[in-house]
Amino acid sequence: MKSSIPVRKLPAPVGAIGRRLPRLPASIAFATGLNLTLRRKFPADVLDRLEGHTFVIVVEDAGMELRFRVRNRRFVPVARATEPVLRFRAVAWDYASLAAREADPDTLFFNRRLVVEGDTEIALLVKNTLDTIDIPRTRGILKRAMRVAGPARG
Amino acid sequence: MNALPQPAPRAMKLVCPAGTPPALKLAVDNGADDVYLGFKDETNARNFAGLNFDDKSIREGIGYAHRKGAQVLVALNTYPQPGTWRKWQAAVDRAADLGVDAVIVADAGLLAYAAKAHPQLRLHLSVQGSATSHEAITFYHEHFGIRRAVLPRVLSVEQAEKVIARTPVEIEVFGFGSLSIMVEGRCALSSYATGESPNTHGGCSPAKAIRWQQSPRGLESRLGGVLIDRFGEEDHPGYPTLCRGRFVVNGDTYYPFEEPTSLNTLELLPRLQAMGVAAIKIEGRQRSPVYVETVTRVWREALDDCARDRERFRVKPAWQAALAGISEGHQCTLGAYHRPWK
Repeated sequence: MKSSIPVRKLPAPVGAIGRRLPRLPASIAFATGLNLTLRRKFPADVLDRLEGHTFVIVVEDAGMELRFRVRNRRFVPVARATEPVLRFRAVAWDYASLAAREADPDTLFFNRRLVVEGDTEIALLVKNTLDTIDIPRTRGILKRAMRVAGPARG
Repeated sequence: MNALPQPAPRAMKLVCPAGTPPALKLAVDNGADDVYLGFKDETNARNFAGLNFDDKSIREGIGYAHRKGAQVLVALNTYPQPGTWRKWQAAVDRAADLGVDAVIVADAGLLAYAAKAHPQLRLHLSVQGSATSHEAITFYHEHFGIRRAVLPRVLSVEQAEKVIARTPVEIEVFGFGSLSIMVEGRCALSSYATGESPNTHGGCSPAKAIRWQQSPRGLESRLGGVLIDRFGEEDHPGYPTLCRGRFVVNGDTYYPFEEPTSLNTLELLPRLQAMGVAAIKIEGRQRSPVYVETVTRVWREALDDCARDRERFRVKPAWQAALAGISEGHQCTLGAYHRPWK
């Protein structure tokens, strides 16, 4: 059965270019963004539970793989591939929809639009902690950007 | 002479789930009458990492809800064991001290303690109490003073109607959400695979026992090493509980317990209102704020429509589309409410 949730993918050339770019700069930018927007909102005990673990976020249509680790309660980029505790796979639009609270993560998961591989307990901890965090300004910016980009297609 | 203004029709109360403070706020903002939540431990049946409320967030949640006319209920809906009684007892004290509007309790011993130690605390009988007859509900009312009972999802509409007609207690029924196997409060199925039961540890499938694995044959979900299901590219996975598992039985592969479906009773609302249902419960404390926002918005509108004119109430396609978009599985069912074989 095909998903009924609207889908939007980046144009194929974006992914082709993304796959040729070095991965570290994007991971550095992403980890910096996490530290600026989320780190202070993450409870210390949660960061301690995540300490030392590596996470990989695959943005399929952008050809990108963002890798970072939690070290000393900070998000730090990871250059070389180590076995991550969690690997997420989705397209950029779905990640943006999740971050903007426009989509429900379980629904994306049920529809195979969000693939999560690895430690389920840590995945739940991350998901539930993100659900607890209110970042209305960042979400507002994301929502506006998504509206400018136009509606997703069903 | 002008007719006197009619009192506004009273809608059934809408009882919505909250696993996090943002979900609570969205439930209240979108029209929940009651919001139910749990502590961060096994005293509730959604004991998952990172979910639920500490004392500070409950106090803030109660303040927010009360300012907007909503109430906060705390689910203490698991069963204490001989060695853990004090933890559940302390949870009742904690809920009372925090000033919650009611506690939702399953265990008779805990109800007795709450009634004695906190006579002012409003008590609701949890669905996990598994009281399916008016005699059972009246027993809880007479002995512990329960004010509301949540009916287990095993009764047909006709059976629920008979219970409501014969009990002095408010009756709450499930309206929407994931369905679990129909032995609420008595299910120990997952303990065979994980060593933990939902009624004592607060989760059907403890996350530490779950493995999702991509194999050449498809996406596999395992619980305690037991293969629950294997999904092809076009399949939609559900929550990895044994009761939703697809197993080989006598050479046939199917769901021997139940298919992963969601309950959706929108079309029954006029009937439920007419028979005196006091409150409609939405399942899903483990779900995101987006889910809570969507379900609450749809159900508020539906309940108000039904209260305004029961006879002309029609389920709007937009409601069904919104709910289908966030349901587990791709089927909605009336569950036991509709039982043609009865």
